[in-house]
Amino acid sequence: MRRYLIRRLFLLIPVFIGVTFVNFVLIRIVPGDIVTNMMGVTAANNQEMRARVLHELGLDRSMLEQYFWWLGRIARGDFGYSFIHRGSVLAEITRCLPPTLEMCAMSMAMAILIGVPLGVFSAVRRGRDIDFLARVLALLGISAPNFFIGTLIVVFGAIYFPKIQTLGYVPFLQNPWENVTRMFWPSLTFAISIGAIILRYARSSVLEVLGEDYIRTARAKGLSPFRIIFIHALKNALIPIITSIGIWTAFLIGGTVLIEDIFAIPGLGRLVLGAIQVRDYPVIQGTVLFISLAVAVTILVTDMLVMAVDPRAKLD
Amino acid sequence: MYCRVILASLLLSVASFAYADDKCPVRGGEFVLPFSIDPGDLTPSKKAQFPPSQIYDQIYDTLLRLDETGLKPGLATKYEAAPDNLSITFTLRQGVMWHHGREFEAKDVVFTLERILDPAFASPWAVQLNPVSKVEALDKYTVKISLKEPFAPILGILATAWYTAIVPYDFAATNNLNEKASGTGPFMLVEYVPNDHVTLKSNPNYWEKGFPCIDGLRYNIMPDQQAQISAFRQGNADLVALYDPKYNQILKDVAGSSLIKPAGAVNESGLAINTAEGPTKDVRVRRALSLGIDRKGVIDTVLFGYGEIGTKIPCGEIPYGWCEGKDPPLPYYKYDPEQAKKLLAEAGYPNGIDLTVQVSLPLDVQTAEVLADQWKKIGVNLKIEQIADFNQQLDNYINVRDQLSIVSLVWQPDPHSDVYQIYYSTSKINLGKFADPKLDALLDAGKTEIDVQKRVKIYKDVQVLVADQAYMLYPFTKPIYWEYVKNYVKNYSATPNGSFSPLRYTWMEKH
Repeated sequence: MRRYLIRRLFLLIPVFIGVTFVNFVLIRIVPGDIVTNMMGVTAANNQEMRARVLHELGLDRSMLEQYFWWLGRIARGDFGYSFIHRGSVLAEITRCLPPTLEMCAMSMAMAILIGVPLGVFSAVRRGRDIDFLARVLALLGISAPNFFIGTLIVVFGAIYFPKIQTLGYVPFLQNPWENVTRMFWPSLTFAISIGAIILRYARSSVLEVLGEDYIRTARAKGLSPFRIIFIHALKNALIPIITSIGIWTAFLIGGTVLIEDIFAIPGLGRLVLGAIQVRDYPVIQGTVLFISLAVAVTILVTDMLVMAVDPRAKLD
Repeated sequence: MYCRVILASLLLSVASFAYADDKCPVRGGEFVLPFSIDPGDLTPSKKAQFPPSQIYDQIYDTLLRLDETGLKPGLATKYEAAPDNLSITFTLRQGVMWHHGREFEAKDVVFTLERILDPAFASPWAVQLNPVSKVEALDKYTVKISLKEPFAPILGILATAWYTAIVPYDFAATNNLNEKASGTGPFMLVEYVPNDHVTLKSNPNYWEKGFPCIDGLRYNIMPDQQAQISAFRQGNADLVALYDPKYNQILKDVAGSSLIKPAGAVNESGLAINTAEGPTKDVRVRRALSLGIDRKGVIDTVLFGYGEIGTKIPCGEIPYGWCEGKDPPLPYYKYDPEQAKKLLAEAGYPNGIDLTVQVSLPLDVQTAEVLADQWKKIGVNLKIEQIADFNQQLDNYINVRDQLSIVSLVWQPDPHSDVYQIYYSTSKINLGKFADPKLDALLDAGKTEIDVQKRVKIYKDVQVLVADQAYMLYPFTKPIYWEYVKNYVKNYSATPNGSFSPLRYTWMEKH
């Protein structure tokens, strides 16, 4: 187990170098000029001014040189400073992290609460009314894009329930109740689509397990249906469910941009989107590195969890 | 003569502040407005982005002010140009206090302008202020700006916080103005949390005595316009500024709120044409395109009627702007598909022509779609190429990478800044790669001519020439925003440049 973990951690290094290098090159080769963006068209077309700004930002060196310089600083834990407001990138990330993490945790919890029980019931009552209902709901949840659901919540919420606050972010320590009630809506938006996906996974996974021989044996033994489903079946059915939850958590960490935009939440997605729009390279690089780190760790933790639940999964 | 007229009008407007004290029937309340873009940097004159200045023009003042009627006094009570127009002397207001407690003086003005000109500070406006040779404090309340050549736009530049917000020499040199600020303006910076909000509180020692009426301002950063409208409807915002006209359809019927009359349409859709190569090199083709635009139709479809005929120096820019109705019609502006077809045939395209237009932002895409429809009638088959990333589109636009290209252009405080860079033949950002000696001569004259009447004539000639040669087309002009406020908000007015600075006079019936 330890050797496996160490090997996995070492494998992360080439992954990070790949991700950061591709990202580094991509943001520099997309058209759109950072000097024009910062200094306006007139100043950017003044050679002297242009050279000075590029030098100040360290962009007058070769791309490879810039990359290794950046990598060296990262190795020392220095994420650098924003081109635009000169603030520390690490401080920006830590400031934007809580809303995103909270939204991920809340929407994942809600998605699990919606998806797993409905999926299990739907499998147990396969072909009957509750199964039909759950499947229709799942189809709706998967088909409706979450930015569409989010916009519906914001727009119709404001018209028909003007008392309910759906927008903005209040830090938890400042006002816990406001924090949770406002975070509920964006989290629900995600929970609808991810919950639907988990529901489908849970349903098919439980169905598969229910067809296994040992379940028939358990039934023949005269165990109560409750014990069969929750002790014997669910434990084995959990493995694909955990994997899907892990993958979607990883997706959520980097995929909250649109919802953060709609609900005006100052999270990581907004940070990286804003940085891309103004070509703030250090912020983009730092945030992308951080998000890929978070995704890699989430997937690693998921694999560990699966191994803990399922002794068969000791792939070495 | 010009100077005397200006002086008289300055004195008049000083007098109008005398009865200002009884203008706040109700005091207090925090005024909340949603703000679309994270300002990024609140340091004046450091970056070229406009949005930060919509926040820091509440914190800092400028020497002069500009509204739709012209120049007004600000931190300078009057100014006088030397007879040779190579220097301007400003008399400063006395008794104005910085937020950190010191009195405002000439040294601050010198510091501010020298800082912009200092290569080490790398201000984007160093280029704009290039004709300034020297700034000196004659005494505590007098500043003299010397110029290398007569430079008419300087007054407009000094009246715009975006360019020259005056900062304190002692405080600005040692503080990060993003975290701590000290200005002479009506509001003081409380905090700026990136991507979330900026809060300001009112300055009790503000020099326009009695103002501001409200306790403070809060800019909530919300990129999504729908979310802004929802916040406004829910009562979480006192004002909402729409940059997309279609939302007027939603807000015009909402009870308890009303539209503030826009101060002028100054945001024009700029259709750049490659005049150096391809079919659009031929002036007949360009004229045909101009004749083929039903400008009123564009305004009605794209802007739902909330716009005006497009020109580069818009009617709102008094007195230089070109106004439909007041001025004679510009050449080739009247919709005439028959004549357009004839011109195309003359140019060798009797069976029509294929053209491509590059666009990026939604409003520009809609404009292109309407144009494609209208031009179909004159035999122009317009292919619309949408560029996903605006920076990329801007790059294409400036470098004239395609036959046609649309980007929204914004009014600048002086007609010279409006047109010189984009029309002058040797300019790197000439938007159509055209070189017209007649146009260059007019632009040079406008740069140095101080007499307002002569300048008005020069810039009207510029517009007629550009329309006649169809170097660039302007499908419409619109206000930067349509601002809606709650009905309990009193004494707020719109500004032509999208600044929220009139909030210093605003009061709220309930809060």
